Amino acid sequence: MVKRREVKLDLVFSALADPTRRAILVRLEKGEASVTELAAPFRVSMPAISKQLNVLERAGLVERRKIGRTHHCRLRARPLSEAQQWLERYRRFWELNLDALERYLNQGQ
Amino acid sequence: MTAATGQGIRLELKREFAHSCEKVFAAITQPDRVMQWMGPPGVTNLDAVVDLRVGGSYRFTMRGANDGPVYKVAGKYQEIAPPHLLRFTWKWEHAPADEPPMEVVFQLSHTSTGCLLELTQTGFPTQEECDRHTHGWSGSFQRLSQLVKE
Repeated sequence: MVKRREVKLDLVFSALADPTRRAILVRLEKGEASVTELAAPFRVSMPAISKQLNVLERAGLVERRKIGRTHHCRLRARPLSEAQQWLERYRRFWELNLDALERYLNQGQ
Repeated sequence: MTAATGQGIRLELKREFAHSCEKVFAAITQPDRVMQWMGPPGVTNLDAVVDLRVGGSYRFTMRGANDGPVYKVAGKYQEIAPPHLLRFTWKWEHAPADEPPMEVVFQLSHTSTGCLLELTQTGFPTQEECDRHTHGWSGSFQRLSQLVKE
């Protein structure tokens, strides 16, 4: 039986592919923010920011909670570090494979 | 170098070989040759099946170091232009069934000393990225990660 990964890496990579979403994450790294505060620097509508936040939430990168009538957003960095670790594992994997390819080619054919 | 573009996060590696592109291309596509080198140190290659045509499949079976578990990786060839281009999907058979395959591209170009190989791996392409028409900001994923690290 295959264990289901807690972090959905495909959603994380997809979430990170957009510059507005990356900018939202950078802002949240400084601390929690309301949706209104997050929308302020961007010339986009509130529904548009909400759509971006949905993508980030589905990826597990952002947590939203309601305090009174305001929605507050918080960064969850664990999926990000998991994605980076995944990339680094693959980088090492490929480097080792290319080393092996080089040794094989150099064996003199 | 890891770059974020409109097409998602990419892993990019480069290596120069003092061998012809033809020789390098043969080494990465002919199963009897692949069996002789593929895998990190300690890994034993048990089998390699290659149907080298667009839409054809490959499967590599290997055993981990010290009589370790058997791993299989498989995929389909999407683009083949010997000796310069090989594009294929890549997925470990032990990965979750609903996880999309990754895409790997090998680009080989002639140099004065031999062959430059550029490897690009795209992590988990989604339909959203395929539909995307604009290119996003190109930058370093690592920089962002460091910025948002807790």
